[in-house]
Amino acid sequence: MNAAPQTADRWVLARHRLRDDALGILLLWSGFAAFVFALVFAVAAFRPIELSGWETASQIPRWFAGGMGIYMTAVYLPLYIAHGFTRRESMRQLTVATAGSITLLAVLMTLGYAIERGIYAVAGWPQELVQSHLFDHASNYPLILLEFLLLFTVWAAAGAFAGSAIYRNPAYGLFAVPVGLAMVVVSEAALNPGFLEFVTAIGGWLGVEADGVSVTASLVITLGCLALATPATWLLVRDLPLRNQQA
Amino acid sequence: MTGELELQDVTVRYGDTVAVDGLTATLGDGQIHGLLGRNGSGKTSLLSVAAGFRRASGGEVLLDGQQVFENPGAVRRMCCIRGAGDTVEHDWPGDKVTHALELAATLRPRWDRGWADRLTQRFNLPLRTRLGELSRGQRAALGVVLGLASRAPVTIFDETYLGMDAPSRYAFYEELLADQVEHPRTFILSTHHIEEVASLFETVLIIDDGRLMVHEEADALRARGAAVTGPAEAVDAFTADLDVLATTRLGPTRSDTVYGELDDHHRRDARERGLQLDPVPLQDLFVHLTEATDRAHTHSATAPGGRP
Repeated sequence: MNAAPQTADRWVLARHRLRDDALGILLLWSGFAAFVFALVFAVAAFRPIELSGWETASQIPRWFAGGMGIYMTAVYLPLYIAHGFTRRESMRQLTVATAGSITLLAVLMTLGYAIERGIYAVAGWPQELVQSHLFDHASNYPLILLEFLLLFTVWAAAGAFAGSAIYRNPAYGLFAVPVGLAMVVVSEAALNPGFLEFVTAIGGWLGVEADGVSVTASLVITLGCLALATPATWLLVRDLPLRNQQA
Repeated sequence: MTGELELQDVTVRYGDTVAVDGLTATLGDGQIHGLLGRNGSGKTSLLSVAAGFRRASGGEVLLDGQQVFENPGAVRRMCCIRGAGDTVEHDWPGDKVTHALELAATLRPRWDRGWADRLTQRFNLPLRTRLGELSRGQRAALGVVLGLASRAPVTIFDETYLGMDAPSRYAFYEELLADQVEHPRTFILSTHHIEEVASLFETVLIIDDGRLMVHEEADALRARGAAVTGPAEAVDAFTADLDVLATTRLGPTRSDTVYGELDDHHRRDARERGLQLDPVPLQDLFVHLTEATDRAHTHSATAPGGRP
């Protein structure tokens, strides 16, 4: 009998995913930022710029974070299982890799505000915010970073939950997708109290002022979503059967 | 670098459907095992459980005594190629043949990069082509490369080479056999090209309706089948006490395919009756055995008192 072989690099999956995803995120963000700032200049040709364009554009990357979560469980997890890794070690490493990718994305999105600040300063435009945030001005970078981290975390967790359900059985997806969407709606509402009317009730319950946002409440809601999504996802993937491949 | 795979009372259920029904077998290490069965007989379900791709509904799979499912030490020693192999395919720029090979090189602890390169050339695989643009045969060839070059102690090919043309299939058999001599490992081949690959098999498992029908050394199985040809009356008398799987008639001549070992007494008897005894190709034996089971099912379903 042979000794059980071990891959020399115990974190090979996390490294592999991070390397691929970090490069993809950098490329996509570069294109995204170039497009957003070009669009701002295009708008400036017709009307004065009074608001942060980056704030509006930042709606899109959260969907990307959700997509990363879906890919994590519906695409990469089965791939790594097929290449001789267990569900447990794949999920552990994929979670680490996704956390790294989300952090990079949050840093880049925060950097977008800084770049926009420089451009607006040169052009003489005010970098006003429309929505409520954890931060009250577009140069409060630590809180901007924290908000993106919290948002992307919830979106990725919801995506991973929905992705695992859809892969396991599309019928489960009918249940999981609304639950995942509910998670992100609650998270968004916690960060932007004007997001939905019912946030007043949620905000009141959590001690959030209607015209402000509490870092504590946002953290509690993010952790709550994670506390719901993590075990639910694990329940779905711990014995996930791989779908059959067609020749 | 080999592994012995034990299937202990393995059952796979999908709702009310039983795909594999309490199957027990031991697949010896360093051998090439042929897994045969008709469509829907449970081959893919069984192999998926064997490789840890699916948890068995009942029973267990052990590799050298260790449980396979969710055991890193066991699953890392297995490589199961289903169809064209598991690759990320979205036809994005990063989903090319070369990336599928790089992924395997990164994740497979015993990956033989040099051999993978040679195999890629031998099968004319275009490295810079997107996976979604490969022909069926090229995709199958990629699966073969991923499985062979993995050098996993237990390597399973589940209908992988169906789409390959004859020269490519023969190249695959040649590579597999040559490597088996140099680096023995346990192979399980599930195939419909039985006769073509039969000479590689050291043992043969035939499953039908999820149950193990035959598990024998390939040579012993071949010796169990014989075609008895001659005058109809003589054949009839000779095979009266034998297990006849199939009968064909041409005028006064009749040929019975019998299953069971023919001893010296039988052979002498056949000679005296002027009957000819010929070996039966494994594929014919497989067809007759599984057809006989079908007939038995039909009979029990229609016979008075038979359970449907």
